[in-house]
Amino acid sequence: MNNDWKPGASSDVLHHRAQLLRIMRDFFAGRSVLEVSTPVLGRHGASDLHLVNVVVTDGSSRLYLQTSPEYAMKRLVAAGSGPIFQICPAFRGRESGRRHNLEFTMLEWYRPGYRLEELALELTDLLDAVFEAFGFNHGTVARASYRALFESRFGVNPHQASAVQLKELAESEFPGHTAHIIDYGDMGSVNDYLDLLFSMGVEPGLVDPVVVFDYPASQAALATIADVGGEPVARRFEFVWQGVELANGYDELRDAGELSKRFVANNEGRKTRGMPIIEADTRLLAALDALPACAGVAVGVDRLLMLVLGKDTIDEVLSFSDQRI
Amino acid sequence: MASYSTNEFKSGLKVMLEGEPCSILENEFVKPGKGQAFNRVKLRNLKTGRVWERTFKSGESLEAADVLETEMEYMYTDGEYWHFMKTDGSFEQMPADESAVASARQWLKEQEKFMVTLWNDSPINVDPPNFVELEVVETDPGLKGDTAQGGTKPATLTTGAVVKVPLFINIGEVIRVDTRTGEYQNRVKS
Repeated sequence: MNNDWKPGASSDVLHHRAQLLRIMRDFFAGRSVLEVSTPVLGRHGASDLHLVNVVVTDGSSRLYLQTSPEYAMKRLVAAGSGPIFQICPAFRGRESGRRHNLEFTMLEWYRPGYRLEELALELTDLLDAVFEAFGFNHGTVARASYRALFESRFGVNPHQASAVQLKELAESEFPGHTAHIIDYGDMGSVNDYLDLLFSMGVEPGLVDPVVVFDYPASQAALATIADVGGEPVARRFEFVWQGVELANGYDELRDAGELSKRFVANNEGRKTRGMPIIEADTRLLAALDALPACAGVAVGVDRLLMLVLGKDTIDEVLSFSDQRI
Repeated sequence: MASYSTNEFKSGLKVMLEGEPCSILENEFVKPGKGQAFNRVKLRNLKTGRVWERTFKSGESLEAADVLETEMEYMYTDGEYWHFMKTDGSFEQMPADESAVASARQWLKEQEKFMVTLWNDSPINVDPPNFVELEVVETDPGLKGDTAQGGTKPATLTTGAVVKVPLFINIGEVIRVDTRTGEYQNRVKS
């Protein structure tokens, strides 16, 4: 008897989901942040080395289901929208598991004129409102740099370590867990080792809510890179709770030349790995000159719901997860 | 032979890893924020019983292992091999070596049925049933009247297993034993 026509989320969970979305909308309404809707379908995909675009066709041309609303929302901000937020579906190919679903719900917002620290505080305020509504009380949220966490666990500075050093560290700390990493001798491979070490050695220990900031420059994506204590770091943060990454915030890159270079570097890495090339989004590049200094952050809504309801799988907080479509 | 991709990995799936047949116990998809996705997998090596933890790049494949679990009847040992017979009506016989019978060895009773794991058609593991009934061949004389609680004493069974039994058990009696714990359960009326 097949029961997979039924939703994964119980009626209770569906009500909590609606409550969570209401809390978010009320929060932004109270701060005069405008709710917007941007296309889920785009002519360009994301070129990040580790994002698999879901590609669709309209019968004649190739279109991409957006991995996040980032490009379109930045164009709105560049056009003078002021602070905006959006709650929308996002799609990432080959991401399916206990905490991942091919299609998921993202909350993303942009704050012109905000510094990254201010945005992190606003995120914390929002999460406090959510935690309170769902009966959690955490007190203050800790802050820690990526480097401090990495060093206290492994005794190695992640910003200075060589690829060889990281590889040896990964092999000695997690024997049997490095076989999947292919060393292409580029920054992508350095990142693979950093990610393995951080996600297996550091993240599971981050049980209490913490904002992790100043990521390795090689993981800047669309964030600015700044010099901190003589080391280039990506001006990014992640919010981690119960060992789970819940949000990802950037001090947004506004230099079109630098962004073009990163797109090219991404595609070189994609080529090396036999992945499809993603053409640069020229409309985004054109908009960057007009983009005011701003910070933006994305929150995984389904995961947040999972954690506040104490659910083990994302399937339990979605109407119909990958297993049921 | 077929192969399975990480997204098809699920508990109970039999795959080949480093030349050894394994059964998948757990599969967890991991995707660091901006990083490469991988799967953390726990597998049991079906030959040794040992649990392995490995990571695989998401989308990577493992060859399927030709593994079959089947009920077989234990017949006899020639000292080097332990011989089993299929119960599916084919009467096909197969020798299992010492490493295959290791966990079941002290419970091997002739004509008793066991779960045998076959890899490429040869036995690699033998699991005893949860409970077996075996005769006591050696133990100190029973104490009359002592049928309630009290001490225990060692008793050797027909298969060579040594089990702690209550003091009232005598040679020639049949007892029921839990093979998972090696503990005496009760006396079987014969």
